[in-house]
Amino acid sequence: MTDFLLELRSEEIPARMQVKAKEDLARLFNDALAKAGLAAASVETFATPRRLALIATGLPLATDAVSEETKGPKVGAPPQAMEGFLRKAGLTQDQLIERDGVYFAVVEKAGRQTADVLAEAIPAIIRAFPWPKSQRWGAGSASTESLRWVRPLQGIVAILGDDVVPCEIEGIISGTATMGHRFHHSGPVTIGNAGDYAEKLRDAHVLVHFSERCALIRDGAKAAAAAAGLTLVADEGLVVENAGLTEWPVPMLGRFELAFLEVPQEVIQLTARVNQKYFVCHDSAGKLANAFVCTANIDAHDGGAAIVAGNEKVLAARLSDAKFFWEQDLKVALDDQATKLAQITFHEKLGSVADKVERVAKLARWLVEEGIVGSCSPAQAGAQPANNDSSDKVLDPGLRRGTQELADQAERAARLCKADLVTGMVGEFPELQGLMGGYYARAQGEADAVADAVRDHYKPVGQGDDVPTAPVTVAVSLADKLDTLAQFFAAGMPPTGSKDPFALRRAAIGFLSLLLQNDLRCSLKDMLLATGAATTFDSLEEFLVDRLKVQQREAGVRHDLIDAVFSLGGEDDLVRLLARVNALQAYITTAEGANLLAAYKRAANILKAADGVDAAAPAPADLVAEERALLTALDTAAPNAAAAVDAEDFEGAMAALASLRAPIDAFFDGVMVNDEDPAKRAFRLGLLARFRDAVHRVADFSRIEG
Amino acid sequence: MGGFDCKPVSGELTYGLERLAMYIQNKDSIFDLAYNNATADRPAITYGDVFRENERQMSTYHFEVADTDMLFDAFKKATAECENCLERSLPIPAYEQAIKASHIFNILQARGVISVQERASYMGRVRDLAKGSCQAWMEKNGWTA
Repeated sequence: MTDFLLELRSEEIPARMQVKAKEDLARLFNDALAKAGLAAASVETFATPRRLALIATGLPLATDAVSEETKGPKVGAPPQAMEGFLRKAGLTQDQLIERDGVYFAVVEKAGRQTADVLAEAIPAIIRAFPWPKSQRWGAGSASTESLRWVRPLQGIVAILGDDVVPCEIEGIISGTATMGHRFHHSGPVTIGNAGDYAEKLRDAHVLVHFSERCALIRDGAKAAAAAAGLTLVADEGLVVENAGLTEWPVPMLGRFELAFLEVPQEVIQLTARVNQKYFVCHDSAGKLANAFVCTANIDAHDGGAAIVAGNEKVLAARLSDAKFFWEQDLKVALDDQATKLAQITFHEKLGSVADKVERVAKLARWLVEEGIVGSCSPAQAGAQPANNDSSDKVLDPGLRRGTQELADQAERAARLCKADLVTGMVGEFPELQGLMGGYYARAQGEADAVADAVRDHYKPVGQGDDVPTAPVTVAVSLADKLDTLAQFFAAGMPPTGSKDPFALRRAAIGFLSLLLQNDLRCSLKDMLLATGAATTFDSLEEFLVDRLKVQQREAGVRHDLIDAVFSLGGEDDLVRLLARVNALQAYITTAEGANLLAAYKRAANILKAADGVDAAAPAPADLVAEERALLTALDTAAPNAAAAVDAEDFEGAMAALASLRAPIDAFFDGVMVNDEDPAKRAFRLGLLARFRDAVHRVADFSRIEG
Repeated sequence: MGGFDCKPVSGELTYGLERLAMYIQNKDSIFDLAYNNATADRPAITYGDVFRENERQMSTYHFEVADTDMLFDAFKKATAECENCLERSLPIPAYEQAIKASHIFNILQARGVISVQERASYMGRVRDLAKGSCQAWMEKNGWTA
């Protein structure tokens, strides 16, 4: 048994690719071993900006000899069959073994030296490596067939035990020499074996363990902040990114001018984090401090003073841009900014952004005035039907005034919500859309509810994001997504396959989350009609129900049950739909529910095979007990189930179905449906049809799997 | 280039000389950069002396003045002319029109009249023109990708 070290050294590998590259290297290596019949006791991988490495332990020195046996033709088989088999096996007939009247070809394969296996595997792994982006370089690039790597490959260290595994790829020859830190160490570092790799490189100022660099940055940044009396704002994404940028990380604290703190803190944080990879700090009061922590890749002679000064200069330049935009933007009212949206095309088929804003404003107002969105939702107020045209009459005057104010605020927020797109700040930092609008709205004295809605109306961005609950925000956010979905579908541009250029799937998930989380009760059709988009919406409704299935999968809701309820038609209040599905799922997963489903399927099969079924077929004079019992049960259960569904008592509806279980089982046990007497048969088929119809009051059980 | 592998690989250096000079001269503003070697009898001239007025006028034009209707129209025409050249197997003038369309797109961007949804589509159109020009060049030379 022995150990193996492989190091692939290159120019700087982008930080974001290193973690995946480690996994890919381990996978390709293990596959290559497995193909040769080898396995390592352990495989550990390493990544720094300049190297991707792997150490495998417990490798055998050679593979075992194997004998492979292939079954051939029977004794006495036609000569053509024998000739074909011998040709394929490369043997003559006297080399075959006969056993139980069948010929077998046995090929003895000698064991191979592990070093030879590796020497073949290394170039193959390099050529097959799945970098997300790769390049060609140097003299070799005169041919497009030349080697590709993420950055120019510079050296290969391959050592099995204490010996080099000799291999070569495009003029790069494997050996024992690597390079240390770019500035701390000059000249090659000679590696003896897998055991001294990490230590030799540590001596050359390279920490090959990714996790060690992460820990140094995590703890060092915290300590640098603490030394200045500040608290680091922890950010694991930045820890990993900086670990991918350094071989010898040294976190240090820098400062920026206090005056920059006038800029909203999200702007400072974004600039520091995204553009500069800096951590930010809080002061003892928990507010953003005028300090940052950057990670150098060197132990500098001056303790890092020049590095800190350079980083301070870069950040100051960025922050002074941000401060300039902030001050300029504050001079222009959002209403004036909003007029510029008329010049921006939202989509060439869908008019300008100002057109969109106008539609969203109307829709947001409609959502409030219809009572779909409100401070007190109809569901909470005692399940008022959402589509009540006379709802104004039943509201008391105070509540109506509240609704009007809410509607005004929703419309106002909608008119301002896209205005920040033309501000200097959002032009420079598009990620800040919404957030900046919220700041500018508050600065010009808009109501908090309006400013909050401007700020949060893009939310939720995908699954897992916070879902707004403030009524004004919900109205604007819902209207924005609804408009986007309806307009793009109406213009014939739904997502197809993997192509979703207008992020309609994300809009749909956001729309559904808003509805479900806020318990918003409305017919989907009515909402889509209110968008004013010219289409029938069938495909959009299907799309939304499909998205609902995807979204609910995580919550464990079965997609077939959603289908079973939706396919009945008429249920397009998604909140109620989901409540029905949940009740159905609770019932169908009990033993009793499973029995009822089995009975339903049996009935459905008999009905399918029957020639004509009349649910109203008259009862013959001599009913048997089981028929009478089922008839009685249906007379109660069918109206009960329907009434319970209407009252949104879905447990009650399930209970009504459950009352059919015993009679239908007894019916199947005691009665022959396809009786010789046509009158009896017609009546019994009719009973089954009535049973099926009763079940369909709750859900189309034929859609249920299992 | 244009989606085709080059042999040998071509390259460009994209460092801004002004940015580098700011570090070398230790200046915080580009306009304070020394533009000459000032001496007792040779007065100091800064980068700002030479370029500030240019910067001011070009900024005003690109951010505030440029006629967007004219530019949208010019973008369409450059695109059409590029395609016209490609139909006649003229990759060099086609590429010039592609670059022209790209420049007009940049001005429209600076004027802030292209929405997030539209941006990708404009960039895609410019990319298609550039790719088409490269494709035509390959064909003209009898090269395969």
